[in-house]
Amino acid sequence: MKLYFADTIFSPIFRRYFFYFDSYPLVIQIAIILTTIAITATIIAYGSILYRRYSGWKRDRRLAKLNPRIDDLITDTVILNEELALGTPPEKIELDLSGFARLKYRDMFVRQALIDRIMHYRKNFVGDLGYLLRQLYIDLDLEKDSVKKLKSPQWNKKVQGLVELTALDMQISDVNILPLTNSKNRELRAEARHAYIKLSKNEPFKFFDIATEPLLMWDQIELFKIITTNKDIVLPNFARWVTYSNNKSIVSFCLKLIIHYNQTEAIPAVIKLLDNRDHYLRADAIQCLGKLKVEEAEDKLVSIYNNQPLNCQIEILKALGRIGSGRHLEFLKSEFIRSQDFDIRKNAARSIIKHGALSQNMLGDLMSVSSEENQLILKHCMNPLIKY
Amino acid sequence: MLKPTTLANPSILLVDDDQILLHVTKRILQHDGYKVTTATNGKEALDKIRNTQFDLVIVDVMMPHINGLEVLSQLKQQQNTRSTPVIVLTGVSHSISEDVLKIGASACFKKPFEADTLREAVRQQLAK
Amino acid sequence: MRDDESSIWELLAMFYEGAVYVYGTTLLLTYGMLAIFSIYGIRKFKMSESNTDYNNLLSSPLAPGISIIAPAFNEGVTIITNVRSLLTINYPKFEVIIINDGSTDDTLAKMVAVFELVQVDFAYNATLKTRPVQRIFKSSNPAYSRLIVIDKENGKSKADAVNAGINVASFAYFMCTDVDCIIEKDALLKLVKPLISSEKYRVIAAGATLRMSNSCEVDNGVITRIRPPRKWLARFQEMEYLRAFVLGKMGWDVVNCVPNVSGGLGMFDREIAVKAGGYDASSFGEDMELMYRMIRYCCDQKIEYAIRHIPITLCWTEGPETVQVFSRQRTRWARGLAQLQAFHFPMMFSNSYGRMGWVVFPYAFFFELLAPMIEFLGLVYYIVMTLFGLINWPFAIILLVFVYTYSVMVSTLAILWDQVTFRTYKTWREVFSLCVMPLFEMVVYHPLIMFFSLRGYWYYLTGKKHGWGNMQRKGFNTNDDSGTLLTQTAR
Repeated sequence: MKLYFADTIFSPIFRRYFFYFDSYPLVIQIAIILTTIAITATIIAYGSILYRRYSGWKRDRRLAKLNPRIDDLITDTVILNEELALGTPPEKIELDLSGFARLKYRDMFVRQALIDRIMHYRKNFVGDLGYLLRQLYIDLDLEKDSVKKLKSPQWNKKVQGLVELTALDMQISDVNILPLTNSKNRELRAEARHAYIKLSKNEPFKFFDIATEPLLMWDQIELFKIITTNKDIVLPNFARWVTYSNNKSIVSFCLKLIIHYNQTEAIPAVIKLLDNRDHYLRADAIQCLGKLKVEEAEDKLVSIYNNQPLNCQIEILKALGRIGSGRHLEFLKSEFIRSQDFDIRKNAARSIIKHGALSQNMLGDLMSVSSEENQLILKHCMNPLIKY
Repeated sequence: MLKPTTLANPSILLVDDDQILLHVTKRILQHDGYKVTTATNGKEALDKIRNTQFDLVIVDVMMPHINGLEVLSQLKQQQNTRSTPVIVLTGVSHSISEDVLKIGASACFKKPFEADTLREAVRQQLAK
Repeated sequence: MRDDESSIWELLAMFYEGAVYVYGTTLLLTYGMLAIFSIYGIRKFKMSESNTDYNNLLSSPLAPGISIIAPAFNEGVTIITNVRSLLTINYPKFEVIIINDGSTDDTLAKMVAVFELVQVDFAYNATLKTRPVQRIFKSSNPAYSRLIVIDKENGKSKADAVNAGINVASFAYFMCTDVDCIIEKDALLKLVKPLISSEKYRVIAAGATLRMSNSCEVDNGVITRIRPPRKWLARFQEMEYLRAFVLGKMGWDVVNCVPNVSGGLGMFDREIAVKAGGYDASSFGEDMELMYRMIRYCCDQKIEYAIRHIPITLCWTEGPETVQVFSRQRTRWARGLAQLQAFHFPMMFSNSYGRMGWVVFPYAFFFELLAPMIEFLGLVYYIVMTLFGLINWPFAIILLVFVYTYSVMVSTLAILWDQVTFRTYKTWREVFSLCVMPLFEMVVYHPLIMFFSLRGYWYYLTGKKHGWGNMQRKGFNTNDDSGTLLTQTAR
């Protein structure tokens, strides 16, 4: 039996060194061929290890020389800018770029190092310094590099371009960015949306209307950061999506934004959400009402309590503690005494204690009549050292 | 042995494990005429505090091994450093700032911050 | 008569050789495929990692809380440094739960003194049954407000201690580790990402690569210089870990079949872990056992689950340097494997367990559990054949050389993949000191593992007591439990 490969590719070599190669059983032939492949692959692997280490080492060494120079230049031109110190408004300052010319900043490697460094500085400084850092990025023409990355065939390069442009608040035209929001790659899609929300002047929240896929927790975290740190953004009333969106994760995310911005005008929409079928959303809505301290929602919360699953019940107990009007202390007390569930009792106890002076007397009573375990729960919740 | 410091040239200890931020903040404060010593982690900071009396300590919360909170709490527990004002920098202020002020920090800033805010705070603390 | 007999033997021999051939080919092909999958996964991971700014998570009020759970038994010498380094991990919202598992030394006393602990009235809810918890401590110093110390009766197993920690944990995710492991400071940020960024699946656990800390330079619980171990036994283990994690689990991750998450470092979904019943105190391989049970629970409840692995190293553990300690560790792992495969055998080829029933379990059964036995039989067969003069030596040697070069290739690729992930170690010499290990593995390290595994199976079958209580704790102390590598051990 002969192997096709053995005949065409390997056999001249094998015939030369293994006289009887053709007469060997198939198993042995395969073994010999794979052995050769394995040895070659091992040697190539050794070579790649050496090569990777060498080029990495060279890169590191170059960066180690370059970065301190960049740091000094940025410090001198931007951080300790004399005009800024004299009170000149940052828009009027002309940056002195002579130092950067000596850096040979036409080199791609140097330019990338500059971009990375400027981004890092900007993450740590806001205000006038942030403005000047952005100016430096523009003056050095680094924007072009970032825009070029958007056109790269590799998705990760595109993401990199987006990250750089958003970090420095650069405008990206809708033509460039909208196609990316429909990319097949999830990360690119997410990043494009973030960029759109941050940079688009008209209707930054448009995609809340059209998004059908869930907004992952990770994306919510990035988006939250972008929205809450952007001072120029015009905030819509998030109640709009709470009421109309079919995308649960968008609703849930809007609830978090409503809490963050204390959007009291959204409260009616949130209260309406208590009738929603999805119990995770209901729990989020209850939490939102609690954190906004919506006193007028209390009665409704107590009235729906008995028909709720455990997670919503716990949220209701927490919300009553946060609102702390004292009108439903008896309810909390009865839940604390009556319930078999540990978490219910714990949260009821915590909410009673959160009422402060209003519940002083009740706590004394409860302490004296409760079972040993319930007393322990009360003590647990009263202890300032225990947070949760 | 404690080195004496003059009021004209107040000394500041700056602690952060981010080299860039350390470098920049140091330059800014030096520019304002302060004598700045740096440390990149909590242990180094505590060693330096043991040998020198500083007029102000600026410390980052998140550092390996001994973090800013511990540095702060040790400073506030020792007799000779109890009165030294401490400014705390943090990337996660929402959960921590409460603790920080409880332990006795004079101020707590969330990164990113404005350079002028920090300068102003330094000026205020040293004026006291 | 005689002719008949010999033909039966010949038939048996042929069948055996055929079976071994199929078995061996499948195994080698699987490794080849894993190598390709894993480099694909690593490249993808690196691409997304280079654009990820973990600061967004670090500064976010939406970051999910995480409980770090670390049991400690007679760790008085190092406990303070280790707890301190856990407390300084980079994450916005976490607590550190240390379980003093009935230590007989000054572990607890030291913690009480240094961290200014006071006993608190803690409402402890024993969702998972454990040995009684005696006291719970919190620090009176706000600088250590994240710390909770549980003092409990010794349960003679890590599982029992961790379960007590899970009962106290207040967050939706928990990270389980050993108090003597060194954890990278960004470990929480990096491990939680896969759990909160999955589109289709509920990610129930995530793990990362483990390495040996033996010859690394450590300053106050922080690794300052990574080195491969100087002692040969530990260096073999480093190579084995790289193959198991970087090549093996990373490869399985790409096809969504990660078999387990190591006990040295793993992030879990608390709800699923609790509903699956927590760790099993009677298991000798509690990490993998829990994973199997969590998977089982998810399949039974029709939850679309996934387990993730990330290639970067986030945890360093001290590997045994003496053959004696090593043998104890591997015997224990093998025993755990046998125990759990027997218990969970109904999942084998069962449609209701999907990937678990058709890939993960059969792979573990045939190529983890049976491998040492088949190898041993092969060895016996070889010897018998030699005695009867029935061996075709040239062919036997060619086959042996093939298996040898192939396994060297797989291990070397694992080292290369690790270098692609991150340029670990300072010099190329250190990398090559690791690269020579595969050359000797087949004759030195592998026979050891085979022998210890068989011993583990034997103990399992005979139910040998072996004073496991003591042995185990001693082992735990010397890092016996530090990373269950039940899957993908040296082959």
